[in-house]
Amino acid sequence: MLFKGSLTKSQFIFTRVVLYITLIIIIIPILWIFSVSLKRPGEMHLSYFFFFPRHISFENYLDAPRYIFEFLDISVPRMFLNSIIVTSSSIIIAVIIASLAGFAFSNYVFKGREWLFTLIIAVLIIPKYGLVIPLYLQFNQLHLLNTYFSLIFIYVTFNLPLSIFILRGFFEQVPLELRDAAKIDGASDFYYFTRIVLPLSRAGIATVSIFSFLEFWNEFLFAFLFIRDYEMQTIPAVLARMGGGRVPIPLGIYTATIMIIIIPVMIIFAIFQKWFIKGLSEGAIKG
Amino acid sequence: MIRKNKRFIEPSIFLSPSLLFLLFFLLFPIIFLIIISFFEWSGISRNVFKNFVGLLNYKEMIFDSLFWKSLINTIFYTIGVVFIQNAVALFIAIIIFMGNFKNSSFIRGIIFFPVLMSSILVGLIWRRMFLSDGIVNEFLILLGLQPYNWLSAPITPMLIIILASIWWGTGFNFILIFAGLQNINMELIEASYIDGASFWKAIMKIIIPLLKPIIIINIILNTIGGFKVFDIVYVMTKGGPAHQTEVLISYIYYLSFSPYSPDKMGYAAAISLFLTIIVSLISVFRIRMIKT
Repeated sequence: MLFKGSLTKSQFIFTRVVLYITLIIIIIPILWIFSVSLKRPGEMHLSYFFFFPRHISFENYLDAPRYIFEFLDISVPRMFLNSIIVTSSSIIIAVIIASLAGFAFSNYVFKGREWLFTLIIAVLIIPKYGLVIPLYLQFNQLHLLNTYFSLIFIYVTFNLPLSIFILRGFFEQVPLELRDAAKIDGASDFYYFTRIVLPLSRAGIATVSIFSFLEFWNEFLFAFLFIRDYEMQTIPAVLARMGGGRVPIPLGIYTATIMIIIIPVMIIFAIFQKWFIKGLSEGAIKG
Repeated sequence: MIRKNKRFIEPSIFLSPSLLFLLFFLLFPIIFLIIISFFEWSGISRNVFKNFVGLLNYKEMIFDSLFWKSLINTIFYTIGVVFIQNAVALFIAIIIFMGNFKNSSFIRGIIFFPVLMSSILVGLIWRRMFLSDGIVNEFLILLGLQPYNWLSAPITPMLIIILASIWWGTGFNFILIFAGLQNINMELIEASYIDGASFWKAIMKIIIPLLKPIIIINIILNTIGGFKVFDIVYVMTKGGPAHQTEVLISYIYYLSFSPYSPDKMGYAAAISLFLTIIVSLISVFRIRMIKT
Protein backbone atom coordinates (compact mmCIF):
# COMPACT_ATOMS: atom_id res chain seq x y z
CA MET A 1 0.00 0.00 0.00
CA LEU A 2 0.94 3.62 0.20
CA PHE A 3 3.49 3.62 2.93
CA LYS A 4 4.99 0.30 2.01
CA GLY A 5 8.71 0.49 2.51
CA SER A 6 8.38 4.06 3.66
CA LEU A 7 8.23 3.22 7.37
CA THR A 8 11.53 3.80 9.06
CA LYS A 9 12.78 1.04 11.29
CA SER A 10 11.79 2.83 14.48
CA GLN A 11 8.31 3.54 13.11
CA PHE A 12 8.00 -0.11 12.14
CA ILE A 13 8.90 -1.24 15.66
CA PHE A 14 6.68 1.41 17.27
CA THR A 15 3.57 0.40 15.31
CA ARG A 16 4.16 -3.27 16.13
CA VAL A 17 4.66 -2.64 19.84
CA VAL A 18 1.51 -0.51 20.08
CA LEU A 19 -0.50 -3.13 18.23
CA TYR A 20 0.69 -6.00 20.43
CA ILE A 21 -0.01 -4.08 23.62
CA THR A 22 -3.50 -3.25 22.35
CA LEU A 23 -4.24 -6.84 21.42
CA ILE A 24 -2.96 -8.09 24.79
CA ILE A 25 -5.18 -5.65 26.68
CA ILE A 26 -8.19 -6.71 24.65
CA ILE A 27 -7.52 -10.42 24.91
CA ILE A 28 -6.38 -10.79 28.53
CA PRO A 29 -9.77 -10.43 30.26
CA ILE A 30 -11.35 -13.05 28.00
CA LEU A 31 -8.27 -15.28 28.11
CA TRP A 32 -8.26 -15.14 31.90
CA ILE A 33 -11.93 -16.12 32.07
CA PHE A 34 -11.27 -18.94 29.60
CA SER A 35 -8.24 -20.28 31.46
CA VAL A 36 -9.96 -20.25 34.82
CA SER A 37 -12.94 -22.06 33.33
CA LEU A 38 -10.60 -24.88 32.26
CA LYS A 39 -9.19 -25.47 35.74
CA ARG A 40 -10.21 -28.44 37.81
CA PRO A 41 -12.73 -27.37 40.45
CA GLY A 42 -10.33 -28.34 43.27
CA GLU A 43 -7.31 -26.56 41.76
CA MET A 44 -8.62 -23.04 41.39
CA HIS A 45 -5.56 -21.55 43.01
CA LEU A 46 -2.98 -23.63 41.18
CA SER A 47 -1.77 -21.94 38.05
CA TYR A 48 1.14 -21.35 35.72
CA PHE A 49 2.01 -17.75 34.99
CA PHE A 50 -0.88 -16.10 36.87
CA PHE A 51 -3.76 -17.99 35.46
CA PHE A 52 -3.04 -20.85 33.08
CA PRO A 53 -4.40 -24.11 34.45
CA ARG A 54 -2.09 -26.88 35.66
CA HIS A 55 -4.48 -29.49 34.37
CA ILE A 56 -7.02 -28.81 31.69
CA SER A 57 -10.46 -30.13 32.47
CA PHE A 58 -13.93 -29.49 31.17
CA GLU A 59 -15.59 -30.33 34.44
CA ASN A 60 -16.78 -26.75 34.97
CA TYR A 61 -18.54 -26.82 31.64
CA LEU A 62 -20.29 -30.05 32.55
CA ASP A 63 -21.29 -28.69 35.96
CA ALA A 64 -22.31 -25.20 34.85
CA PRO A 65 -25.82 -26.02 33.54
CA ARG A 66 -26.74 -27.76 36.79
CA TYR A 67 -25.42 -24.88 38.88
CA ILE A 68 -27.17 -22.27 36.77
CA PHE A 69 -30.42 -24.16 37.20
CA GLU A 70 -29.85 -24.37 40.94
CA PHE A 71 -28.72 -20.77 41.55
CA LEU A 72 -30.59 -18.87 38.88
CA ASP A 73 -33.70 -21.05 38.46
CA ILE A 74 -33.50 -21.39 34.70
CA SER A 75 -31.97 -24.01 32.43
CA VAL A 76 -29.30 -23.04 29.91
CA PRO A 77 -31.27 -24.17 26.83
CA ARG A 78 -34.31 -22.28 28.10
CA MET A 79 -32.46 -18.99 28.46
CA PHE A 80 -31.03 -19.34 24.97
CA LEU A 81 -34.51 -20.19 23.72
CA ASN A 82 -35.98 -17.09 25.40
CA SER A 83 -33.33 -14.87 23.85
CA ILE A 84 -33.76 -16.46 20.44
CA ILE A 85 -37.55 -16.11 20.49
CA VAL A 86 -37.50 -12.48 21.62
CA THR A 87 -34.65 -11.43 19.32
CA SER A 88 -35.81 -13.20 16.18
CA SER A 89 -39.45 -12.19 16.43
CA SER A 90 -38.47 -8.59 17.18
CA ILE A 91 -36.17 -8.52 14.15
CA ILE A 92 -38.79 -10.05 11.86
CA ILE A 93 -41.57 -7.71 13.00
CA ALA A 94 -39.28 -4.66 12.95
CA VAL A 95 -38.03 -5.39 9.44
CA ILE A 96 -41.52 -6.01 8.06
CA ILE A 97 -43.09 -2.94 9.61
CA ALA A 98 -40.15 -0.66 8.91
CA SER A 99 -39.88 -1.73 5.29
CA LEU A 100 -43.60 -1.11 4.75
CA ALA A 101 -43.10 2.41 6.09
CA GLY A 102 -39.87 2.89 4.17
CA PHE A 103 -41.75 1.90 1.00
CA ALA A 104 -44.52 4.39 1.75
CA PHE A 105 -41.92 7.15 1.97
CA SER A 106 -39.91 6.10 -1.06
CA ASN A 107 -42.73 5.18 -3.45
CA TYR A 108 -45.47 7.73 -2.88
CA VAL A 109 -45.64 11.47 -3.00
CA PHE A 110 -48.22 12.61 -0.49
CA LYS A 111 -48.95 15.75 1.42
CA GLY A 112 -46.85 16.14 4.53
CA ARG A 113 -44.49 13.32 3.55
CA GLU A 114 -41.23 15.00 4.53
CA TRP A 115 -42.84 16.49 7.59
CA LEU A 116 -43.94 13.06 8.82
CA PHE A 117 -40.56 11.56 7.97
CA THR A 118 -38.75 14.22 9.99
CA LEU A 119 -41.13 13.62 12.86
CA ILE A 120 -40.33 9.89 12.85
CA ILE A 121 -36.60 10.57 12.69
CA ALA A 122 -36.98 13.00 15.57
CA VAL A 123 -38.19 10.09 17.68
CA LEU A 124 -34.60 8.82 17.53
CA ILE A 125 -33.65 11.42 20.10
CA ILE A 126 -35.89 9.96 22.79
CA PRO A 127 -34.03 7.48 24.98
CA LYS A 128 -36.12 4.42 25.77
CA TYR A 129 -34.57 4.17 29.22
CA GLY A 130 -36.31 7.37 30.24
CA LEU A 131 -39.67 5.75 29.58
CA VAL A 132 -39.27 2.67 31.78
CA ILE A 133 -41.77 3.81 34.40
CA PRO A 134 -44.72 4.74 32.16
CA LEU A 135 -44.12 1.70 29.95
CA TYR A 136 -44.13 -0.52 33.02
CA LEU A 137 -47.42 0.98 34.10
CA GLN A 138 -48.86 0.56 30.62
CA PHE A 139 -47.81 -3.08 30.26
CA ASN A 140 -49.07 -3.78 33.73
CA GLN A 141 -52.49 -2.46 32.72
CA LEU A 142 -52.40 -4.53 29.52
CA HIS A 143 -51.36 -7.63 31.51
CA LEU A 144 -48.34 -8.01 29.27
CA LEU A 145 -45.64 -8.03 31.95
CA ASN A 146 -43.76 -11.32 32.11
CA THR A 147 -44.51 -12.06 28.46
CA TYR A 148 -42.25 -12.03 25.44
CA PHE A 149 -44.61 -9.48 23.91
CA SER A 150 -43.61 -6.78 26.37
CA LEU A 151 -40.00 -6.92 25.14
CA ILE A 152 -40.89 -7.44 21.49
CA PHE A 153 -43.19 -4.41 21.39
CA ILE A 154 -40.61 -2.16 23.06
CA TYR A 155 -37.69 -3.34 20.95
CA VAL A 156 -39.64 -2.98 17.70
CA THR A 157 -40.92 0.49 18.58
CA PHE A 158 -37.59 1.98 19.51
CA ASN A 159 -35.85 0.48 16.51
CA LEU A 160 -38.38 1.73 13.97
CA PRO A 161 -37.07 5.25 13.30
CA LEU A 162 -33.54 4.19 12.41
CA SER A 163 -34.74 1.16 10.41
CA ILE A 164 -37.23 3.23 8.44
CA PHE A 165 -34.56 5.82 7.76
CA ILE A 166 -32.04 3.28 6.47
CA LEU A 167 -34.56 1.24 4.45
CA ARG A 168 -36.00 4.32 2.75
CA GLY A 169 -32.48 5.17 1.60
CA PHE A 170 -32.02 1.72 0.11
CA PHE A 171 -35.49 1.62 -1.49
CA GLU A 172 -34.89 4.93 -3.22
CA GLN A 173 -31.91 3.44 -5.00
CA VAL A 174 -34.13 0.98 -6.87
CA PRO A 175 -34.29 2.32 -10.46
CA LEU A 176 -37.62 3.96 -11.30
CA GLU A 177 -37.70 2.21 -14.70
CA LEU A 178 -38.41 -1.02 -12.85
CA ARG A 179 -41.49 0.50 -11.31
CA ASP A 180 -42.73 1.76 -14.64
CA ALA A 181 -42.13 -1.65 -16.17
CA ALA A 182 -44.02 -3.34 -13.35
CA LYS A 183 -46.88 -0.85 -13.73
CA ILE A 184 -47.10 -1.54 -17.45
CA ASP A 185 -47.26 -5.25 -16.74
CA GLY A 186 -50.20 -4.52 -14.48
CA ALA A 187 -48.46 -5.35 -11.20
CA SER A 188 -49.96 -3.95 -8.01
CA ASP A 189 -47.89 -1.74 -5.71
CA PHE A 190 -47.72 -4.53 -3.18
CA TYR A 191 -46.47 -6.98 -5.80
CA TYR A 192 -43.89 -4.45 -6.96
CA PHE A 193 -42.82 -3.97 -3.33
CA THR A 194 -42.46 -7.64 -2.40
CA ARG A 195 -41.13 -8.99 -5.69
CA ILE A 196 -38.86 -6.19 -6.89
CA VAL A 197 -38.02 -3.63 -4.21
CA LEU A 198 -37.37 -6.02 -1.32
CA PRO A 199 -35.15 -8.49 -3.20
CA LEU A 200 -33.08 -5.61 -4.59
CA SER A 201 -32.64 -4.13 -1.10
CA ARG A 202 -31.19 -7.20 0.57
CA ALA A 203 -28.14 -5.23 1.74
CA GLY A 204 -30.36 -2.73 3.52
CA ILE A 205 -32.36 -5.45 5.19
CA ALA A 206 -29.12 -7.12 6.31
CA THR A 207 -27.85 -3.85 7.77
CA VAL A 208 -31.05 -3.30 9.69
CA SER A 209 -31.16 -6.91 10.91
CA ILE A 210 -27.59 -6.82 12.18
CA PHE A 211 -27.76 -3.72 14.29
CA SER A 212 -31.18 -4.81 15.51
CA PHE A 213 -29.78 -8.22 16.43
CA LEU A 214 -27.04 -6.76 18.61
CA GLU A 215 -29.38 -4.28 20.22
CA PHE A 216 -32.04 -6.89 21.02
CA TRP A 217 -29.75 -9.77 21.98
CA ASN A 218 -27.85 -7.62 24.48
CA GLU A 219 -30.64 -5.42 25.84
CA PHE A 220 -30.74 -5.56 29.59
CA LEU A 221 -32.85 -2.99 31.44
CA PHE A 222 -36.24 -3.87 29.98
CA ALA A 223 -35.45 -7.57 29.86
CA PHE A 224 -34.61 -7.40 33.54
CA LEU A 225 -37.51 -5.23 34.76
CA PHE A 226 -40.41 -6.39 32.59
CA ILE A 227 -39.80 -10.11 32.96
CA ARG A 228 -39.58 -11.04 36.61
CA ASP A 229 -40.50 -14.66 36.03
CA TYR A 230 -37.07 -16.33 35.96
CA GLU A 231 -38.22 -19.02 33.51
CA MET A 232 -38.95 -16.36 30.89
CA GLN A 233 -35.81 -14.24 31.17
CA THR A 234 -33.39 -13.58 28.34
CA ILE A 235 -29.63 -14.15 28.66
CA PRO A 236 -28.54 -10.68 29.90
CA ALA A 237 -31.22 -10.65 32.59
CA VAL A 238 -30.20 -14.11 33.82
CA LEU A 239 -26.50 -13.26 33.76
CA ALA A 240 -26.99 -10.07 35.73
CA ARG A 241 -28.34 -12.14 38.62
CA MET A 242 -25.00 -13.94 38.68
CA GLY A 243 -23.32 -10.73 39.88
CA GLY A 244 -24.39 -10.74 43.46
CA GLY A 245 -26.66 -13.51 44.61
CA ARG A 246 -27.38 -14.92 48.05
CA VAL A 247 -24.64 -17.50 47.65
CA PRO A 248 -21.55 -16.66 45.58
CA ILE A 249 -21.26 -18.85 42.52
CA PRO A 250 -17.97 -20.83 42.40
CA LEU A 251 -15.36 -19.16 40.21
CA GLY A 252 -15.07 -22.13 37.85
CA ILE A 253 -18.81 -22.16 37.19
CA TYR A 254 -18.92 -18.38 36.86
CA THR A 255 -16.20 -18.36 34.21
CA ALA A 256 -17.52 -21.41 32.35
CA THR A 257 -20.97 -19.78 32.15
CA ILE A 258 -19.47 -16.62 30.68
CA MET A 259 -17.66 -18.71 28.06
CA ILE A 260 -20.84 -20.62 27.22
CA ILE A 261 -22.45 -17.25 26.42
CA ILE A 262 -19.46 -15.77 24.56
CA ILE A 263 -18.57 -18.73 22.33
CA PRO A 264 -21.72 -18.62 20.13
CA VAL A 265 -21.19 -14.87 19.63
CA MET A 266 -17.57 -15.55 18.62
CA ILE A 267 -18.61 -18.18 16.09
CA ILE A 268 -21.32 -15.99 14.56
CA PHE A 269 -18.91 -13.08 14.40
CA ALA A 270 -16.17 -15.18 12.80
CA ILE A 271 -18.58 -16.16 10.03
CA PHE A 272 -20.21 -12.76 9.44
CA GLN A 273 -17.41 -10.39 10.45
CA LYS A 274 -17.66 -8.22 7.34
CA TRP A 275 -21.40 -7.90 7.62
CA PHE A 276 -21.28 -7.03 11.29
CA ILE A 277 -18.71 -4.29 10.86
CA LYS A 278 -20.43 -2.87 7.81
CA GLY A 279 -23.91 -3.06 9.29
CA LEU A 280 -22.92 -1.51 12.57
CA SER A 281 -20.89 1.34 11.19
CA GLU A 282 -23.57 2.17 8.62
CA GLY A 283 -26.25 2.03 11.27
CA ALA A 284 -24.20 4.25 13.56
CA ILE A 285 -23.16 6.90 11.09
CA LYS A 286 -26.59 7.24 9.59
CA GLY A 287 -28.41 6.98 12.87
CA MET B 1 -60.05 13.88 -7.15
CA ILE B 2 -60.15 10.11 -7.06
CA ARG B 3 -56.49 9.93 -7.89
CA LYS B 4 -55.53 12.30 -5.09
CA ASN B 5 -57.53 10.21 -2.67
CA LYS B 6 -55.82 7.05 -3.78
CA ARG B 7 -52.42 8.56 -3.21
CA PHE B 8 -53.29 9.26 0.36
CA ILE B 9 -54.86 5.92 1.15
CA GLU B 10 -52.09 3.67 -0.09
CA PRO B 11 -49.18 5.20 1.83
CA SER B 12 -51.43 5.31 4.89
CA ILE B 13 -51.89 1.56 4.71
CA PHE B 14 -48.15 1.01 4.44
CA LEU B 15 -47.44 3.45 7.26
CA SER B 16 -50.14 2.49 9.73
CA PRO B 17 -48.35 -0.41 11.51
CA SER B 18 -45.33 1.81 12.27
CA LEU B 19 -47.46 4.69 13.39
CA LEU B 20 -49.54 2.45 15.65
CA PHE B 21 -46.43 1.13 17.39
CA LEU B 22 -45.04 4.63 17.83
CA LEU B 23 -48.36 5.91 19.12
CA PHE B 24 -48.90 3.16 21.68
CA PHE B 25 -45.41 2.56 22.96
CA LEU B 26 -43.81 5.94 22.51
CA LEU B 27 -46.27 8.81 22.47
CA PHE B 28 -48.52 7.43 25.20
CA PRO B 29 -45.62 6.67 27.56
CA ILE B 30 -44.20 10.17 27.09
CA ILE B 31 -47.53 11.70 28.03
CA PHE B 32 -47.86 9.32 30.98
CA LEU B 33 -44.35 10.16 32.10
CA ILE B 34 -45.09 13.86 32.20
CA ILE B 35 -48.33 13.28 34.09
CA ILE B 36 -46.81 10.84 36.60
CA SER B 37 -44.06 13.30 37.42
CA PHE B 38 -46.69 15.59 38.98
CA PHE B 39 -47.96 12.93 41.36
CA GLU B 40 -46.71 11.34 44.49
CA TRP B 41 -46.97 7.68 43.61
CA SER B 42 -45.49 5.06 45.84
CA GLY B 43 -45.75 1.83 43.91
CA ILE B 44 -47.05 -0.09 40.98
CA SER B 45 -49.87 -1.69 42.95
CA ARG B 46 -51.32 1.65 44.07
CA ASN B 47 -53.48 4.11 42.23
CA VAL B 48 -51.27 6.55 40.35
CA PHE B 49 -53.48 9.57 40.17
CA LYS B 50 -54.40 10.02 43.80
CA ASN B 51 -51.90 12.47 45.26
CA PHE B 52 -51.36 15.40 42.98
CA VAL B 53 -48.34 17.28 44.23
CA GLY B 54 -47.71 19.77 41.44
CA LEU B 55 -44.04 20.60 41.06
CA LEU B 56 -43.02 19.09 44.38
CA ASN B 57 -41.08 16.26 42.71
CA TYR B 58 -39.07 18.80 40.76
CA LYS B 59 -38.43 20.81 43.88
CA GLU B 60 -37.19 17.65 45.57
CA MET B 61 -34.67 17.14 42.76
CA ILE B 62 -33.06 20.50 43.52
CA PHE B 63 -32.50 19.62 47.17
CA ASP B 64 -31.66 15.94 46.75
CA SER B 65 -27.93 15.44 47.16
CA LEU B 66 -28.12 11.87 45.83
CA PHE B 67 -29.65 13.15 42.60
CA TRP B 68 -26.82 15.63 42.20
CA LYS B 69 -24.30 12.94 43.02
CA SER B 70 -25.69 10.64 40.35
CA LEU B 71 -25.81 13.47 37.83
CA ILE B 72 -22.18 14.39 38.54
CA ASN B 73 -21.16 10.74 38.35
CA THR B 74 -22.95 10.41 35.01
CA ILE B 75 -21.17 13.47 33.65
CA PHE B 76 -17.82 12.28 35.02
CA TYR B 77 -18.34 8.86 33.44
CA THR B 78 -19.40 10.41 30.12
CA ILE B 79 -16.45 12.79 29.93
CA GLY B 80 -14.01 10.01 30.83
CA VAL B 81 -15.40 7.63 28.25
CA VAL B 82 -15.74 10.23 25.48
CA PHE B 83 -12.20 11.53 25.80
CA ILE B 84 -10.22 8.39 26.49
CA GLN B 85 -12.19 6.15 24.15
CA ASN B 86 -11.86 8.50 21.19
CA ALA B 87 -8.20 9.24 21.83
CA VAL B 88 -7.34 5.54 22.10
CA ALA B 89 -9.46 4.60 19.08
CA LEU B 90 -7.93 7.34 16.95
CA PHE B 91 -4.42 6.38 17.99
CA ILE B 92 -4.86 2.68 17.31
CA ALA B 93 -6.70 3.27 14.03
CA ILE B 94 -3.89 5.43 12.69
CA ILE B 95 -1.22 3.00 13.90
CA ILE B 96 -2.95 0.08 12.19
CA PHE B 97 -3.68 2.05 9.06
CA MET B 98 -0.13 3.29 8.73
CA GLY B 99 1.56 0.13 9.94
CA ASN B 100 1.02 -2.03 6.85
CA PHE B 101 -0.08 -5.07 8.78
CA LYS B 102 -0.56 -8.27 6.86
CA ASN B 103 -3.60 -9.54 8.79
CA SER B 104 -5.26 -6.17 9.06
CA SER B 105 -8.81 -7.47 8.79
CA PHE B 106 -8.20 -10.18 11.41
CA ILE B 107 -6.65 -7.60 13.75
CA ARG B 108 -9.60 -5.27 13.24
CA GLY B 109 -11.90 -8.17 14.05
CA ILE B 110 -10.21 -8.72 17.41
CA ILE B 111 -10.30 -5.04 18.30
CA PHE B 112 -13.97 -4.90 17.36
CA PHE B 113 -15.01 -8.08 19.15
CA PRO B 114 -15.77 -6.65 22.64
CA VAL B 115 -18.42 -4.41 21.06
CA LEU B 116 -20.49 -7.50 20.30
CA MET B 117 -20.57 -8.62 23.91
CA SER B 118 -23.43 -7.47 26.08
CA SER B 119 -22.55 -4.84 28.66
CA ILE B 120 -23.64 -7.37 31.26
CA LEU B 121 -20.94 -9.82 30.19
CA VAL B 122 -18.33 -7.06 30.17
CA GLY B 123 -19.39 -6.02 33.65
CA LEU B 124 -19.27 -9.60 34.93
CA ILE B 125 -15.78 -10.15 33.52
CA TRP B 126 -14.29 -6.92 34.83
CA ARG B 127 -15.97 -7.24 38.18
CA ARG B 128 -14.43 -10.67 38.62
CA MET B 129 -10.99 -9.37 37.63
CA PHE B 130 -11.08 -6.72 40.33
CA LEU B 131 -12.64 -8.77 43.14
CA SER B 132 -10.37 -9.54 46.08
CA ASP B 133 -9.27 -12.88 44.58
CA GLY B 134 -9.26 -11.70 40.97
CA ILE B 135 -6.38 -11.58 38.54
CA VAL B 136 -5.47 -7.96 39.34
CA ASN B 137 -4.81 -8.68 43.01
CA GLU B 138 -3.00 -11.91 42.17
CA PHE B 139 -0.73 -9.86 39.97
CA LEU B 140 -0.14 -7.32 42.75
CA ILE B 141 0.74 -10.10 45.17
CA LEU B 142 3.17 -11.52 42.64
CA LEU B 143 4.87 -8.12 42.46
CA GLY B 144 5.07 -8.14 46.25
CA LEU B 145 2.39 -5.47 46.67
CA GLN B 146 -0.66 -5.43 48.92
CA PRO B 147 -3.95 -6.58 47.39
CA TYR B 148 -6.59 -3.86 47.25
CA ASN B 149 -10.36 -3.78 47.59
CA TRP B 150 -10.92 -2.20 44.20
CA LEU B 151 -14.69 -2.34 44.11
CA SER B 152 -15.45 -1.25 47.65
CA ALA B 153 -12.86 1.50 48.12
CA PRO B 154 -13.98 5.13 47.84
CA ILE B 155 -12.80 6.27 44.38
CA THR B 156 -11.63 3.26 42.39
CA PRO B 157 -15.06 1.68 41.58
CA MET B 158 -16.06 4.50 39.24
CA LEU B 159 -12.66 4.42 37.55
CA ILE B 160 -12.93 0.68 37.01
CA ILE B 161 -16.42 1.09 35.56
CA ILE B 162 -14.99 3.66 33.14
CA LEU B 163 -12.08 1.36 32.32
CA ALA B 164 -14.42 -1.56 31.59
CA SER B 165 -16.60 0.68 29.40
CA ILE B 166 -13.60 1.80 27.41
CA TRP B 167 -12.46 -1.79 26.91
CA TRP B 168 -15.95 -2.56 25.68
CA GLY B 169 -16.59 0.44 23.44
CA THR B 170 -13.27 1.43 21.89
CA GLY B 171 -13.65 -1.08 19.06
CA PHE B 172 -16.80 0.70 17.94
CA ASN B 173 -15.14 4.12 17.65
CA PHE B 174 -12.14 2.40 16.11
CA ILE B 175 -14.17 0.86 13.28
CA LEU B 176 -15.82 4.18 12.41
CA ILE B 177 -12.50 6.02 12.42
CA PHE B 178 -10.83 3.28 10.41
CA ALA B 179 -13.62 3.45 7.82
CA GLY B 180 -13.00 7.18 7.65
CA LEU B 181 -9.28 6.60 7.10
CA GLN B 182 -10.00 4.25 4.24
CA ASN B 183 -12.06 6.94 2.54
CA ILE B 184 -9.28 9.51 2.65
CA ASN B 185 -7.86 10.36 -0.73
CA MET B 186 -4.43 8.80 -0.50
CA GLU B 187 -2.93 11.02 -3.18
CA LEU B 188 -3.25 13.91 -0.77
CA ILE B 189 -1.02 12.21 1.75
CA GLU B 190 1.28 10.84 -0.87
CA ALA B 191 1.82 14.33 -2.25
CA SER B 192 2.60 15.77 1.15
CA TYR B 193 4.92 12.86 1.74
CA ILE B 194 6.79 13.54 -1.46
CA ASP B 195 6.94 17.22 -0.55
CA GLY B 196 8.96 16.16 2.43
CA ALA B 197 6.30 16.17 5.17
CA SER B 198 7.21 13.78 7.93
CA PHE B 199 5.18 10.73 8.96
CA TRP B 200 3.79 12.55 12.01
CA LYS B 201 3.21 15.79 10.23
CA ALA B 202 1.09 13.99 7.63
CA ILE B 203 -0.99 12.57 10.45
CA MET B 204 -1.44 15.77 12.39
CA LYS B 205 -1.93 18.18 9.50
CA ILE B 206 -3.87 16.09 6.99
CA ILE B 207 -5.40 12.97 8.45
CA ILE B 208 -6.82 14.27 11.71
CA PRO B 209 -8.52 17.33 10.18
CA LEU B 210 -10.09 15.07 7.54
CA LEU B 211 -11.41 12.75 10.25
CA LYS B 212 -13.08 15.56 12.14
CA PRO B 213 -16.68 14.78 11.07
CA ILE B 214 -16.31 11.15 12.13
CA ILE B 215 -14.76 12.12 15.45
CA ILE B 216 -17.69 14.46 16.05
CA ILE B 217 -20.17 11.65 15.33
CA ASN B 218 -18.22 9.46 17.75
CA ILE B 219 -18.34 12.10 20.46
CA ILE B 220 -22.08 12.60 20.05
CA LEU B 221 -22.79 8.86 20.10
CA ASN B 222 -20.56 8.31 23.14
CA THR B 223 -22.15 11.21 24.99
CA ILE B 224 -25.65 9.83 24.39
CA GLY B 225 -24.43 6.39 25.43
CA GLY B 226 -22.77 7.87 28.51
CA PHE B 227 -25.95 9.43 29.79
CA LYS B 228 -27.75 6.12 29.29
CA VAL B 229 -25.20 4.07 31.21
CA PHE B 230 -26.76 1.57 33.58
CA ASP B 231 -25.99 -2.07 32.79
CA ILE B 232 -22.28 -1.99 33.62
CA VAL B 233 -22.84 -0.03 36.81
CA TYR B 234 -25.60 -2.38 37.89
CA VAL B 235 -23.52 -5.51 37.38
CA MET B 236 -20.29 -4.17 38.81
CA THR B 237 -21.36 -2.19 41.87
CA LYS B 238 -25.18 -1.82 41.87
CA GLY B 239 -24.53 1.88 42.41
CA GLY B 240 -22.72 1.12 45.64
CA PRO B 241 -20.82 1.15 47.89
CA ALA B 242 -23.22 3.55 49.65
CA HIS B 243 -24.37 5.22 46.39
CA GLN B 244 -20.74 6.03 45.48
CA THR B 245 -21.18 5.00 41.84
CA GLU B 246 -24.84 5.89 41.39
CA VAL B 247 -25.62 7.21 37.89
CA LEU B 248 -28.90 8.73 36.70
CA ILE B 249 -30.56 5.54 35.49
CA SER B 250 -29.31 3.45 38.40
CA TYR B 251 -30.72 6.12 40.72
CA ILE B 252 -34.06 6.03 38.90
CA TYR B 253 -33.97 2.25 39.28
CA TYR B 254 -33.14 2.59 42.97
CA LEU B 255 -36.05 4.96 43.54
CA SER B 256 -38.61 2.90 41.66
CA PHE B 257 -37.97 -0.80 41.11
CA SER B 258 -35.06 -1.84 43.31
CA PRO B 259 -35.84 -4.20 46.21
CA TYR B 260 -34.45 -1.56 48.59
CA SER B 261 -36.28 1.27 46.94
CA PRO B 262 -37.97 4.00 48.98
CA ASP B 263 -40.98 3.61 46.63
CA LYS B 264 -40.90 7.01 45.01
CA MET B 265 -42.21 6.31 41.54
CA GLY B 266 -43.44 9.86 40.97
CA TYR B 267 -40.09 11.34 41.89
CA ALA B 268 -38.30 8.75 39.73
CA ALA B 269 -40.56 9.82 36.84
CA ALA B 270 -39.52 13.44 37.31
CA ILE B 271 -35.84 12.43 37.08
CA SER B 272 -36.65 10.25 34.03
CA LEU B 273 -38.18 13.25 32.32
CA PHE B 274 -35.08 15.28 33.15
CA LEU B 275 -32.90 12.52 31.64
CA THR B 276 -35.11 12.29 28.57
CA ILE B 277 -34.85 16.02 27.96
CA ILE B 278 -31.06 16.08 28.38
CA VAL B 279 -30.48 13.13 26.06
CA SER B 280 -32.92 14.58 23.53
CA LEU B 281 -31.05 17.88 23.49
CA ILE B 282 -27.74 16.12 22.85
CA SER B 283 -29.38 13.98 20.18
CA VAL B 284 -30.55 16.99 18.23
CA PHE B 285 -26.93 17.29 17.12
CA ARG B 286 -27.05 13.69 15.99
CA ILE B 287 -30.10 14.36 13.81
CA ARG B 288 -28.30 17.34 12.29
CA MET B 289 -25.46 15.00 11.38
CA ILE B 290 -27.86 12.59 9.68
CA LYS B 291 -29.19 15.33 7.49
CA THR B 292 -25.75 16.29 6.21
